[in-house]
Amino acid sequence: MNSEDQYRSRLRSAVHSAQAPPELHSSVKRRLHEERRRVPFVRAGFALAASILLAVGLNRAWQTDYLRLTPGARESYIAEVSAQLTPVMRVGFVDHLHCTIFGQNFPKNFDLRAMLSELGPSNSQLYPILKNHLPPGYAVIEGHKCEASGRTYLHLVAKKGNSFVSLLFTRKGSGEAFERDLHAAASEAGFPIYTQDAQRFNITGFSPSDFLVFLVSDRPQHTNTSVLSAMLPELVKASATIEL
Amino acid sequence: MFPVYATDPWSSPWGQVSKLGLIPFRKADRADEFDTVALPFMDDLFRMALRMTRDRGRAEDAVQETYLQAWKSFDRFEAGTNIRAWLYKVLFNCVHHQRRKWLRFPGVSDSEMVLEQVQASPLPAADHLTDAEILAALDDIPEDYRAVVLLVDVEEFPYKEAAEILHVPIGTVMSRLSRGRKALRERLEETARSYGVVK
Repeated sequence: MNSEDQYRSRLRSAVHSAQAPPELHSSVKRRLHEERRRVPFVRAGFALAASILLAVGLNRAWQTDYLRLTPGARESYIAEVSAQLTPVMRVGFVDHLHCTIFGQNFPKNFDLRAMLSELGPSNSQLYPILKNHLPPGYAVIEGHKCEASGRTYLHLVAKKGNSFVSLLFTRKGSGEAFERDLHAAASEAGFPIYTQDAQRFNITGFSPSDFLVFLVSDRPQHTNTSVLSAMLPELVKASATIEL
Repeated sequence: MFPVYATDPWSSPWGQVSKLGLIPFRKADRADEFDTVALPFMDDLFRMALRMTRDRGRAEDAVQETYLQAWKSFDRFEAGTNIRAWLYKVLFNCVHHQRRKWLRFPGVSDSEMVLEQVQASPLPAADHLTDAEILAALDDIPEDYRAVVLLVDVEEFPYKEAAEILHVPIGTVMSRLSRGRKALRERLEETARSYGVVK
């Protein structure tokens, strides 16, 4: 045996004289076993938590209309939420739900000229009125005439993220009046302003001459009221020439 | 010499079956697989941990932690590489990590990358020294040198694998080995001299 071999052999023999304690084998196996049992539990815990969150989210989405995907489900939702409102408030709210929330058939690229053409020369004045009084971040994305529940509306829509604001004009029906069921929440330029909440929505309205005017959004009541108050004098003036 | 084990699930017998869709690949199979290929090296790992930590309790902790970490990363074990070398790499990581918790061992400087004579010299009066005296001398040399001496001279890893296990360049392994052997010889000579075995 040469010197290098002798050195290695002697060193190896000394190091190998130490043995792992017998209990180390069982300790390692036990810890591995615990780890292998623990991991599925942790995964199951995560899965359970995720399932609960998903269920809560789906329930919330269902309750707040986002999952009402079929026409039947939507009508059911509209009827359910509208029942919380007075008859006159339903007039504005129903078109907001039909057209803005469930319809959402808005052009991808906003075309101002096309929108003003759709509204007609007499009604185009509503665009700057709404645009100039919107809360920060909102932009007008649509303006048109539409029909819901047998009524015709002038409808302008503004959007910020997933939040929508509708400004609606419609002719007052026979016997329809805010004051029949509601007390005024505010007044502006001699016109009482009425407001009601339904789920996450607020409907605020007033009545110039033979029109019903609504501002519907998912903004808080005081915001909706102050925006409509600010627009009111100009809306009253515009109502004199509105064609509907 | 040591088993080269492939971790690619498709290359294992169960994996081949699973790939054909006959039997779903199960975690239990992986556990059996791991136990079969990794646990036989427990004694080797313990001896290395003992020499590196110089404490049986810490060595046992290091071995347990090594197997836990190895199991957790078994899916990432590179196919076609030596599982023994891989386990040592995990062990050194654990020892390094635990050492930071215990106390600060001063590391040696590798700034001078002098490749001295790497060949082993004979141990002075090796036949007259006990295992305990050789181990005491080994434990007394700087930890970084000791690691290389153990990996190369005791566990017979090639320089390249020792370098990979320790995450250092191969030149550093050679340098540390040379210095480690020299330091070990000096300490053993002192011991032998105290017995009057050598002058």
